[in-house]
Amino acid sequence: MTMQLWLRPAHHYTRLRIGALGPVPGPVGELVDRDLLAEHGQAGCEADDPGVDLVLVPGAGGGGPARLSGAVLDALIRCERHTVPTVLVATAHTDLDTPVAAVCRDVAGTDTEVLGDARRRFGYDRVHHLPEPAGQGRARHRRRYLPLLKTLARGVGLFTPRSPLTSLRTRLGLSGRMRHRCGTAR
Amino acid sequence: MRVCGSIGHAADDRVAAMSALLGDPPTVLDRATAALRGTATARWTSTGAEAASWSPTPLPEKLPADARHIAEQHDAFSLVVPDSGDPYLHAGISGAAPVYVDTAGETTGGAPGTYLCSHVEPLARTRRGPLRPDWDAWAQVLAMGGPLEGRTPFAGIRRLPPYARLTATAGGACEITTTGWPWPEVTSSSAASLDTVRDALTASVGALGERARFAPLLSGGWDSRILTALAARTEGTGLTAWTTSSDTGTVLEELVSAKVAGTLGIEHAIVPARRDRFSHDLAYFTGAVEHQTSFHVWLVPLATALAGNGATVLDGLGGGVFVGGAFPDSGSDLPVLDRRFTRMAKYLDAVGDVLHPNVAGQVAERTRASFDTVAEPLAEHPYGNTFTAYLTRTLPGISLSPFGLLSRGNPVATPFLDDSVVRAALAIPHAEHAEGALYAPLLRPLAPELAELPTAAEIPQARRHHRRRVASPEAAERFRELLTREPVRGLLAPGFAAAGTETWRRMLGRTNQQHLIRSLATMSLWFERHEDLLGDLSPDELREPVT
Repeated sequence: MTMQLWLRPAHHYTRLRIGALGPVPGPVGELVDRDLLAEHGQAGCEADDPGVDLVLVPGAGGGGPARLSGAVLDALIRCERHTVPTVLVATAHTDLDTPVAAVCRDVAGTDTEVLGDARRRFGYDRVHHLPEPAGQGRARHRRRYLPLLKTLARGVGLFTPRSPLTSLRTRLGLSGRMRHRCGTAR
Repeated sequence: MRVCGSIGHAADDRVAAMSALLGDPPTVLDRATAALRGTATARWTSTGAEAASWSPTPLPEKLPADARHIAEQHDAFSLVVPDSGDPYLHAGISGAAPVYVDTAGETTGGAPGTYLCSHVEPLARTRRGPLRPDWDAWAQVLAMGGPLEGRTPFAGIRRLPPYARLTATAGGACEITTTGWPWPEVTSSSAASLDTVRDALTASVGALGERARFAPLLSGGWDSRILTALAARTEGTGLTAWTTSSDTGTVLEELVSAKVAGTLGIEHAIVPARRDRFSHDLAYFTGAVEHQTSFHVWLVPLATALAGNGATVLDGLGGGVFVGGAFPDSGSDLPVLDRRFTRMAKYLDAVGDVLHPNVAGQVAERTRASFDTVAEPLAEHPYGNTFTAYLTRTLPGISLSPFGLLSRGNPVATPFLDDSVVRAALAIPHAEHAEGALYAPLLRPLAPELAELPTAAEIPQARRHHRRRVASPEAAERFRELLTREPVRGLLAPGFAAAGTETWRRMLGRTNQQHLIRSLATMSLWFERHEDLLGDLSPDELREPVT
């Protein structure tokens, strides 16, 4: 319940607003809506809305930032102020060694060995294996990336998985919305 | 820094045994009525006296030939053996670096002697008489974070208070006098200037810089920022500031410290904690501070990264209390001692969740009795809240992070506890310290940009969302394993031992409950380490109902 209290405006995985600190390698990079380090990366953001729900941080080996300085540092402070989760996308062991890695909330990637190393350092609950996008389709069609989005969003606590009871109630049409539609709401 | 010795007609073999446990540091003094072996010592002589001084902070080659002056100017201990007259040990002015004495005494050839050591364990392991826990000390570790009145976990082994003098009299007895500590005697004046504090800090760091290379610890707060700025001015290029996570669910400390280092143009190293090293770090910390506190387990990764690099660690100990106006009195109608006790012993709020009801009562009663002994004489003092916090929290608990953990691998300096800095700060009227109001003006002439940069605590944050290592599944399992062992298990609240990991994690996510759990884990590790000395022991005293 407490997790849901701080849900941002995106109420579905596919509507998550994903930012990044530079180009993110791999399929997960296709999910990025705005690069916070780009010239207009912060354009349109309100003082009380960081403009993103989650920020991907490419590892230093993949061309991402290694040092905490300049625009990278300012963007990370902004994320931290607004409780925006930062996820290091690690592709190499050395990605885990940088000062930037030390301040990311979670780590994600596809390399089993790198993720194993990350789990020993950061803990199982902070490290997430990114699944491949499912099926064919245009990159911008987010439903193709649903498993990946779910991994990220659930991993950083933006969405909590439904309990088995809630899932069952939904399947049986007993959810609140369904009861309301059927006119059986109390 | 490793030092041991004796004063009075003591037995050489016990000093030799303590020395062996400390790794056989060199002999410094060897007289009939006093002996000293140690590292980081400096010998000096004055007319009719032979003496040696020591400190975890590098000492100058030439020391003034007077123990009081050495205590005030260098915060060092001195063992003085006059040709005629009684030998004595004089403690440093801050009392932050510990020296322990075995006050239980020991008869050797009919003459008692008092043994001293920079560490508790050699005194405990070489005592020939019975050894038992000081349950008052343990109650205070639980309630306040450290044992009060110089207690240690072992009954009879005491830490010397600030500026104390231990004298071996001709009759063979040893006396500890604690009168004459100058700091509470400082009077404030509206004419006092913050410039004096800044000049004293600058002089202190500058003098140290002539004989040491610095490794400033840099957090997101004011004290470390000021010291790092001074170190950067003193040392120039090549300085690295060191930061780690304080494991409070935010990384603003690391981010703000990076901003500070960038502004100063110095290198910045962040040492992250490893999840798979939690058990190691907990054991390392409790061992380094000799099981007297559990405040800064998160500092271990940084301490081990720095250990042995030869640099003098700059630590901001004392800045918050003497400059920053920390621990102000609350505005309630309660008597002042009640308000101060409630604030300093805030962990008692959580005893119902973690401790057996009888234990909770014992912990509160035993802590309050000692607290009143320390705090009552300070009740009406203009800086009463400051000295109460210093004597009941800073010295018993916090000081062991620099002068227990960090000093294990490096020389350590705490310039905010320099005598001239403390006197200058106390000369400024109490009200002017409120809410850290002195910090920005103190720093502005040194580093104007940094004076305007908000601290980590000043940056508003919607929520602390980073997962804390201390509340992780791995940590919860380790804590549960330590606390459900006998004899600690008997101190737990009914049902707590059998609760699931999620319950333990929830408790560890709350400040006060977490403190109690950490302290009980410290006790468990103490029993484990000293099982051979203590035997099969039960904390029955702590389970008796308070009448």
